[in-house]
Amino acid sequence: MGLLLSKRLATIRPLAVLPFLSALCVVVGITWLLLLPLDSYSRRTYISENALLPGQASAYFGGSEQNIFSAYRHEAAELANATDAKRVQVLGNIFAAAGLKVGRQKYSYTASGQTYSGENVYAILQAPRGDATEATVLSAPWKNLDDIQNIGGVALVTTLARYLKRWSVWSKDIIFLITSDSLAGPQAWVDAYHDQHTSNPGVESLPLKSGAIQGAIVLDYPSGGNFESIHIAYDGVNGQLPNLDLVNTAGNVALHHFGIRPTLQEMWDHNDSYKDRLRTMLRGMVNQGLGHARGGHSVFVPYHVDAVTVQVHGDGWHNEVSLGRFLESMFRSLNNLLEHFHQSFFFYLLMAQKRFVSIGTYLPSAMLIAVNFTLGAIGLWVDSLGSSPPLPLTTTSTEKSTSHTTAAPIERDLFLPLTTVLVFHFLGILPLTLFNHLPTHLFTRTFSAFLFINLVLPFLLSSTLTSLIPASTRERQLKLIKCFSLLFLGMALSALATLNFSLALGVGVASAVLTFIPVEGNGKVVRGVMYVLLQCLSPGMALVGIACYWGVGMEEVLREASFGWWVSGMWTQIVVWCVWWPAWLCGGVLLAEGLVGWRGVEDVPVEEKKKQ
Amino acid sequence: MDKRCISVILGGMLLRLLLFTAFPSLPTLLGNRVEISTPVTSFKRLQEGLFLYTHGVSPYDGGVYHQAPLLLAFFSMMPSSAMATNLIYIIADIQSTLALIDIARSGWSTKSRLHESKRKEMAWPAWGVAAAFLFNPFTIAACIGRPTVVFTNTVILTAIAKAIQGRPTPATLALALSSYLSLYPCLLLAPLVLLSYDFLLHCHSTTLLPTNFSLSKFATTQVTIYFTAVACLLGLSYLITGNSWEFLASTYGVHLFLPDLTPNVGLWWYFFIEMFDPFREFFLCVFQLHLLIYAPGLTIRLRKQPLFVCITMLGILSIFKSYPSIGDTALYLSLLPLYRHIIPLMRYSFVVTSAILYATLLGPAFYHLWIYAGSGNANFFYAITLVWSLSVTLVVADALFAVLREEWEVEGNGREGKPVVQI
Amino acid sequence: MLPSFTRGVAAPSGAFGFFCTVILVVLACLSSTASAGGHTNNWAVLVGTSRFWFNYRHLANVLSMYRTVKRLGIPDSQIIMMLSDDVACNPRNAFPGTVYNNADRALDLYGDNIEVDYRGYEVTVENFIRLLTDRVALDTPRSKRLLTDDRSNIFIYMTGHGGNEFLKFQDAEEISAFDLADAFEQMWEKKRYHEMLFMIDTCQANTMYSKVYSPNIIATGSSEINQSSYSHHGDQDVGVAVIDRYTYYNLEYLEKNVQPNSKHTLKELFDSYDNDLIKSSPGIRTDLFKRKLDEVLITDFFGNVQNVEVDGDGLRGREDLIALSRLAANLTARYRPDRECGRRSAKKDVKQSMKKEAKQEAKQKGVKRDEEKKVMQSGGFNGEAIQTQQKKRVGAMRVEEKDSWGRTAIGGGALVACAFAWAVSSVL
Repeated sequence: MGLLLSKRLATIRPLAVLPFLSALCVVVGITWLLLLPLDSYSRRTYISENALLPGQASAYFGGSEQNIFSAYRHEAAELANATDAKRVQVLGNIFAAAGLKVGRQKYSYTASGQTYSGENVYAILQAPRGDATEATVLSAPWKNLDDIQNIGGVALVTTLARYLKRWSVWSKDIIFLITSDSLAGPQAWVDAYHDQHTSNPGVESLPLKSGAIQGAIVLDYPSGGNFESIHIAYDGVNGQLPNLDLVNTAGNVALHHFGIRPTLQEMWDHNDSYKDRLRTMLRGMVNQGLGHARGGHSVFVPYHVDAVTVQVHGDGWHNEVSLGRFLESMFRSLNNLLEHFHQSFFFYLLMAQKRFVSIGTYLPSAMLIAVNFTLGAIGLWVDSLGSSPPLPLTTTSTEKSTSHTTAAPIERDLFLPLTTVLVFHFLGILPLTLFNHLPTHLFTRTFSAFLFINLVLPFLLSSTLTSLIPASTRERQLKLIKCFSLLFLGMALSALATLNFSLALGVGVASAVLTFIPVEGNGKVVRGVMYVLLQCLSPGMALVGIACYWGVGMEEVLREASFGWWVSGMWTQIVVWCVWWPAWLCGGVLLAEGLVGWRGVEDVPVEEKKKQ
Repeated sequence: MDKRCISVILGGMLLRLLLFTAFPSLPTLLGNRVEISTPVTSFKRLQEGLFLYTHGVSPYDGGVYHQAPLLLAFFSMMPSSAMATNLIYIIADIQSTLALIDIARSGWSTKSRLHESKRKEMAWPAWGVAAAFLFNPFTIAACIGRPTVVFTNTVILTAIAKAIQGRPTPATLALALSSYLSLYPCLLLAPLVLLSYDFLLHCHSTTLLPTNFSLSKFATTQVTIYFTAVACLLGLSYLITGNSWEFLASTYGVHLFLPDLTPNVGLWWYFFIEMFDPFREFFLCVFQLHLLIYAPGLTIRLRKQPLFVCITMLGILSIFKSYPSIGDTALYLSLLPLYRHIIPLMRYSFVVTSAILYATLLGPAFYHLWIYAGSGNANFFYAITLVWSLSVTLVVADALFAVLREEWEVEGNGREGKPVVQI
Repeated sequence: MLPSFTRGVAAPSGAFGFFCTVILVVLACLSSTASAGGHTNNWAVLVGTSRFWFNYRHLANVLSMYRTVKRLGIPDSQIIMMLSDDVACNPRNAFPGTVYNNADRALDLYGDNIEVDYRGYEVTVENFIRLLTDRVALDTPRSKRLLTDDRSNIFIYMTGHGGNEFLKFQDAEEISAFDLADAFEQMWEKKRYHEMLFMIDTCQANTMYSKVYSPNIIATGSSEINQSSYSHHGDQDVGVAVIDRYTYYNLEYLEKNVQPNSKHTLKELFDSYDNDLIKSSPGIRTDLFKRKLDEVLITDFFGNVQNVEVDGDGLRGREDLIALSRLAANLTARYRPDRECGRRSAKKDVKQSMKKEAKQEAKQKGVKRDEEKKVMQSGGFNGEAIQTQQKKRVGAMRVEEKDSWGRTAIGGGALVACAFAWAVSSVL
């Protein structure tokens, strides 16, 4: 049956359809995404876990606690220029005065020649009637992501430590954590908490531990004064997200019980229109795709601890009392939990505080884009063998000799394309190692050199390649190279879509042009245009694009990437340099091949080769 | 052995040494993966058993160690540094390669006593087969992850190589050792005996052979040697483990009765997690018998190509045995290039290769989602193991089809190129 | 009106005669009221099927019903309460050791004097069905058994999370409407109830009694199929909802209107249900019940009004009475020497009857003893097995290097033997 099928395939040539099918997949994939913010394709958010009971308990934070907060705020402001040791000591004394057990931890990370070090201080409130097998975390960094001192946050955490100690309703321990900075500090603490820090000698072990962490909230409140809304950040490292219940509980409690407007993805004004929803969703996807740590909460998520960062914004009439009550209510809800968050979704896209889509609805778009590569690969496979059909289809016994001569080239055919694609993918280790090990001051220069190399490398590689390929089988070999490259890309993106949907989608859309690169024919204009397009959609240019989006220089972007690699365990770079860049390079080589028109090696007669 | 073979072997050795030394955490990382280590082949469990053995406690106490006692004796002799252990595994891989080279050089896959392929010229040279084994990512992963299935593979390949070189007794002894190490290679006894018999008849003149040399006598002798060897090995194990037979329940009992349901790339664990207790024994019997039924059928039908029967049985074992791992699949996929001449007759090569690659990528991803991220569940991983098993089954079935078709072509004239419909 | 037979009795002489007459008269009076309710004792089975803190209100429901039936007279010995009981001492309870069903926290239901018969993980479907059908283990204490007979009225109240023809028990298992109906039928066949009131407060509660097919059962539930039952209100300091609507409005009626001697009927209770307030459609099933609802007193089920019943008709009672009086006379005659003639025979009669009773008791006991022996024997066998196992058990072993050379020698020898065999076979 297989032989019959291939016979039919060889004669019908359905391959003319496949490029259109691929294009259709890409178009449908992107349109799918654009349809999601509509009411008919998205859903209202809801709390899945019955145990949470958000906002059902009154919060009594306020009154004299305000005075205590002002006092602690003064103390924190006075520590602005103090050394790490002094700061940790003062804060430790505050926690100890509240009757909590205190622990300290020094840490130091090196990434690209820069050192990130500091000292964390934390205190454990042991639940008086609980059994210390579970814990929740309330954290505030000393310096937030913008490097501003988080005076209000630290003051509120210390005030809450005193306040919550007086309640006896806790079934889980509460850990109050003040980290040195926003990203490296929490990473060091959570790694040491789970004993995963041993590979890094710069991180100390924790003297005190409690039970398994069920949830964490990180507070960013620099001013300590009035604010208008709170920004809930929920993106974790490598695109992993916390359970939707936690995000919904925070939004729900803030809005309905305390009148604080919650915002997502830095959309300060959101009027629930299609445009705002789409923007929120796309911003969320960019953050998820990049996979870098976005706050203290990001480092908790890979340990299957659901965490969010609460950041105040704007000027309004809410003050520390609202925020304190909000946190008290959140911790009462977390306290009600019986097990890890598990009821609601782990894979979702939030478009507004009240609207989301789950994985079943959005995954097909990334899958379609990945499938378009696989379709291209299948088409190329059949096409490359269709011109010389698999034997022995039309030969008779008298033509045995010719069938044997056509047999040998097929054997060589697969070897060269396969090795080429494999070599390209292994080449990806070079930029990966380069950008992870260079010192920071060399970044900009190296990156510019890299962009230039990207311009000429395809031509260099194509000349090397052509010297290895015999001219007679040139077309088939090139088709097979493209086939294997697309096949691997499709495979990798399909697998990636289950782990980090946005990264798969982003890489897929940017490399969609690879399916349409012409391998046969001589149109140089088309190839020239495609080459320019390909250069604009290269991984290097994508990094430039990110720099523009963030409004920072290339050095900053690469420094973040290096920090993510060494400290947070980010693997986005592997996808970019070892999956996307080689595929891009392959496409560039094929285009360069056609542009320059190498003739290739003269064909040696087969019999002579056999004698060798 | 020509230069190319030597350079391939050296290349493979260097690659493994490089991986062992440049990435010191890689062996532990790979050794923890369920696709590479199973409860009956895991290196960590071997270390545990070795510790207990060297400290005077029965290694089978505690239900952690399920491997052969001879391995304990062997490893307790060796120096206990990591480099020494890595070298042992590299040497095992090299021995496997040497055996493969012998098998490939003999040309038995294309021209045996009773069958001669019309596509002999297409067969790969020995160094190609060796390269396909040494540079196969599954083989490399199996070597770096250090499961003990590597030793079983070495011994099986040695057995086949000896049989093809006309030395039936070492072949049978090697097979006895491999079935002692992991139970299932015992199913290869019949095809191996036929292989030795074919070679002896083909390559030795009748004067060298004893009079009345017949298949039944030869087979009886070999089977007796086999069972004696197994009995001796079991007896030695009895002595090693302090004069007790308890190792039988902990080694072969685990293969047969599946008490440990750790996930792996096979089909058994999920099935038996869901199984109600009253039906457990019945289904265990069914699954074990299922493996058994392939041996006689294949041996009889493919009497003319016993080497292919061995290879196909290895493929079937790698899918359907109780604790398969990618080491078993690596063995099968490495033996398949011996039959490169029939690969063009296979119908689903592209689909199957893609499916295997997909399963290789998605398997660890879904396992991560299940165990570490907590956002998936066992069904994701099980679905991928189903895809994996299905694709390897397709490879086995397709290769079988190709070989049968080739036999059909050889039997008649002018049959090449005729379209064939399989009913 | 005195029945006719009393008129024909001539008053016998002396104290005996007076004694008999008084008893007869009293019995006659009482027997006229004996057959009105038909039941002589009341039992209540109150089941809270959910656990965890967020199901506080289900426990409050059950404890409220418990308090009500106790107030109306049913004693603890006739109330079986099944509760997970993990709420009063839950660390999340801001008021430890208390359970409230109202935000005003005026009444602590957990109090000093409650008796939970099945608590924690003992609340299972199996235990519930065994309780109803009395197919319990031999060593089950009396407080955990439903010792009802065919003159018992039983009030069964269940609350928790339910669905279409099922009820969840403790988040781990379910009981279906069919199981419940079959359990009730077993009770009917074993004559374990006279009349039953089944009340259930869950989502889609009315489906739970839809499969019941035994006679003399009234059933009422809080909501129809595809309807949820809602909680009434929550306490902001406890932090949970404290009572469900259906139970709240039932309790409101019962607390306001019903006292132990009240004459309110079930019809009045059911008529008080207001669907708008309860926010679901409560259902009532009366097709299996003989009497009309407006003749059924609430206290027939919720209270414990004692009825005394005379077995059969008056004649039999009279003969027993005569035998009793004879016995009394003979016993008193013991101390009166002029009545010797009846003494021995009376004594013999008494002795004989006592012997008979003793034999019967012994037979019963013997049966029990046999069964006990069997249990003991099997237990004993296990005991012996355990003992032998204990004898075999070795203490903790020291893990140390010992006899390593011997072991190395054996291992090395084995390997050398294998290698030798291989070499020999290769050469030959």
